[in-house]
Amino acid sequence: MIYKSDGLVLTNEPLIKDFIYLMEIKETKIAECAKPGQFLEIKTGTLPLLRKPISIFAVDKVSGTISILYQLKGQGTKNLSQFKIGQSIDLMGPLGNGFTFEKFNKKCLLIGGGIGIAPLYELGLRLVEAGNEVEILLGFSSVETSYAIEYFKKLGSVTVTTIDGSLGIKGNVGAFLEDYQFDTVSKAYACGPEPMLKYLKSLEDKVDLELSLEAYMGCGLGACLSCVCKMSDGDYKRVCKEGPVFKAKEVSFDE
Amino acid sequence: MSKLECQLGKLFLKNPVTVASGTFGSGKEFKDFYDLSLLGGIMVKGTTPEKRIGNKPQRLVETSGGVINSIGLANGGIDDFINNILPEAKTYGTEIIVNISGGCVEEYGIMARKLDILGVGAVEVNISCPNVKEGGITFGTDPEMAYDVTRIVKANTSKPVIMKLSPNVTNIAIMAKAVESGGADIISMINTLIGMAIDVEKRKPIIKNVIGGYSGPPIKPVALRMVYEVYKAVGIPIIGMGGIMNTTDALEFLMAGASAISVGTGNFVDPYIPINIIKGLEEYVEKNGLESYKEIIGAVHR
Repeated sequence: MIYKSDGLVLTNEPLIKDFIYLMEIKETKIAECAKPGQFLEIKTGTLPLLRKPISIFAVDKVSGTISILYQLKGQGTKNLSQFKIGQSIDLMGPLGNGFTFEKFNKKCLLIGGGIGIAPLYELGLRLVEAGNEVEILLGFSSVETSYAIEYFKKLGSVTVTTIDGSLGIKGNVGAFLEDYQFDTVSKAYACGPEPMLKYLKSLEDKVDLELSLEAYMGCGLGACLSCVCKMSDGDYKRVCKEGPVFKAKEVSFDE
Repeated sequence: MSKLECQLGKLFLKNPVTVASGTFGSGKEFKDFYDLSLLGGIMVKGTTPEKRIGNKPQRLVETSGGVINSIGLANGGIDDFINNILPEAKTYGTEIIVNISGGCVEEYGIMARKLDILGVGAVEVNISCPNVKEGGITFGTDPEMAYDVTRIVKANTSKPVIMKLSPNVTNIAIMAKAVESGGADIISMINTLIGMAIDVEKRKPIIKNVIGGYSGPPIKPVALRMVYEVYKAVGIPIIGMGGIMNTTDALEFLMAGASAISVGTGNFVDPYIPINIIKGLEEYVEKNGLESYKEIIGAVHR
């Protein structure tokens, strides 16, 4: 079920000022049925006209709250950062398919790059809840632009990579994954910038891997057919409806 | 009898509020929000003779308060529509208006014939898609070709035929007269305005197809002016659309000469806009003591 509903902003704090924010929203109906990997379409103001698709970072079904972790990129996310505690916020969701998971024999590996870490936290919570061991790999460009690491530490062992080497391993997530023992993993999940996903796609034969994709969206409901991504068979699928989560083998990053 | 009951030639709608092709899928995508039978009609996503995968992304971008799209008529083809989409759509309890696009005049005839079946309320003929290379827009800018397409569709169906006009012409009244003389029952207007947006960092067009159709609130004054002009030029009813977001917008279109309206891009912003407009029109009719909303159609011309 998809709802359009006014949520109530409970908190809206910068993790890094003018860059990364965490907002907690009370919206019981959406919280009730949200699955990890799904997203919300949020009306952030009069303009932009279109809603902004934002990943669900965490859900508390007991208190009926949803958290979003978002990066300031344009007017829409800038508007979001201005929301005050107690203000109502126009939400549509939960949208998209979400990650698939169960109780696995071996551990799960979560791979996040930049703001792509957002949907992986809720996934991690549910994986742990289902009795899984979780290992986390987070890639940032530098220590100054790294965030939310302490959340992931609650889920399992965390490795950080930074492009400039100012925190953790120097390089992108590939620097860590190059010699990784994938036979110790039942399933891997990733979300991040396209170059990262493209690289991870090359690991599709080594591990069962799900990728959460990003795309410019019109409606978020599957009607406008804007946010399509190329599939291995040459056809397009809607990121908002059949996605945002796809098996790595399904998608193609070729032009 | 409901005061919003709407008659467009031989097409009857329970109210004059419809949703524009390409903005509402086949209706299925909006079922969670409200009972689709509340709508006057649904113009379903455009169909073509064969399956089309559509244009390469990026296909859509918001710019200057509106939206540019270049989807490229992605759809499963008309047979897929008839076999897999229509059976469900016809259970929604609203008029299903099937939007068709052909690559040549003959293809429009073939599609019209295939759709002359139960469950199809009317055929809306897209002669103005800006986003496909073959055919498309040329039918919508050349009065003789628009006339030919209208004739062949009319000859192949018993359904009401709606011709959807392009605003990308010098004189839209000439196009309206051409489709009227071709036998069109209804005109829907306007399709999108051809537009463009550029990424100044990359120094490249944002839309992969370079240009696309511009829609949303910024085009409303243009659409309204064109409905006003076409109302004066033809005798057939008009379904007005272009940036309609609320009841006031809808009333403006009715007063300019539209007998019904469509919500398009507005569906992306708030799926409830069509429903809010239906309620708003009911209230307007009551407040002004009208017998029927029809009393305001073309009001500014009197």
